[in-house]
Amino acid sequence: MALALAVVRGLALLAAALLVVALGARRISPAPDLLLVVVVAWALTRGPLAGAAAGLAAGWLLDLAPPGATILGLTAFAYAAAGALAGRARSEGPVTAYRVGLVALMAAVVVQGAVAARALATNAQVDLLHLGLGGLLTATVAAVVVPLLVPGDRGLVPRRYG
Amino acid sequence: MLGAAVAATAVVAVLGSTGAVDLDPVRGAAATALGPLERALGPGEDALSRARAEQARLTARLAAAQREAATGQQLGALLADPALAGARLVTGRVVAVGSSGPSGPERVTIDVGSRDGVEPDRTVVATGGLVGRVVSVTAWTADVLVVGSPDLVVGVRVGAAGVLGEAAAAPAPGAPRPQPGLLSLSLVERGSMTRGDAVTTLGSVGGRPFVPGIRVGTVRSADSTSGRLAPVGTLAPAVETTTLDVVAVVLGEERTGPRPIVTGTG
Repeated sequence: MALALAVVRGLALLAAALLVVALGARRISPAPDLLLVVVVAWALTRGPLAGAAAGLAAGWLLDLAPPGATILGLTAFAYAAAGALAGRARSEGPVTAYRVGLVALMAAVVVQGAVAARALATNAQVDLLHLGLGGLLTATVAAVVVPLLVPGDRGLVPRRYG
Repeated sequence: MLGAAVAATAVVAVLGSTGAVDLDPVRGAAATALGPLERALGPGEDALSRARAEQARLTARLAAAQREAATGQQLGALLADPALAGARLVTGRVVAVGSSGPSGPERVTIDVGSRDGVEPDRTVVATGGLVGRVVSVTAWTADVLVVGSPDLVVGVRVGAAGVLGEAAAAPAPGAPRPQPGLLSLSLVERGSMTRGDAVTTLGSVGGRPFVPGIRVGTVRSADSTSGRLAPVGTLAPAVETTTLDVVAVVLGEERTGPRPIVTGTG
């Protein structure tokens, strides 16, 4: 069961990473960060450690998926930090859209902040409007999708009795 | 487990950013695995993409035709230089430019190398005159130290009388520092030069690094009151190194036999 769960989550991350790249290829910009949505869903279900692990895996996927990142590992760090932050907001009980949107927005700020910091370090231009719109779109999609994903994800986790 | 993954990520990020380890095989493996999936999800071919592809093809063909025409023009002018009459040349293009010194690029890379017969210490010329000398050669490229580099001193002849001198980016002792874009010129013995005198290479043994008679530039200013025995001045290079494109390497021919003995007729 645990292996099946890991495979399902891995496939979800892979599909989200490919969708992110495919949206970019269709010049849809700004676009929601679907990978971050999956990471937030995972983090809200399982907590900060699992969120960081999911973020690390998601960031590595983005680092490696062609065309890839200039420096491997930096995106992985940003997503891991975002996943850990989102995981700290985990709570028992139903997950409300408002709460998910807020957590996803914070996670997006972490990821976009890393992007902006890297751009500033190389004297490149930073389009704050573009980054802000991307963050808002991510939060909106997360607010709609994650409340639907979390019960399914919780259902896959084996229950402990006794 | 997570700690190990984070530590491994940190190591990869540091090694990758410093260039200590070549991570291209990792990227290649990821591209092999994920590339086909991205192709499947990527935008398909439509009328707009076909039109864009056709436009890109036509733009590339136009650029190639223009480049060929410009190359032919520059090459024609280069080969028509009387100083190169009979010389064995291999032509190439500048494909990379190194860091710039105070008066322009100091090293350039050209797209001809040892497989084209280029060797170190060969003269490199362009339309107008001397570019520099070959300093290192690989199979398909060669690095050229260009006139104006602090490391390059050229023995020259100045004016119709052919007064001996040397041209360099650094000023001769006692001579004023040349303005950016100009070279310092100092005669090695008492002689004279005036503004506008042609300056050509003196030539070296076996034509390496410089064959004789190649135009280096024109005397821009001459000063015989600097307290030195020989006059000093400045020289405007014949070749604009910042716009270098088509160049030729003079292959030369090594002398294999002694010079003939001649008898005076006086």
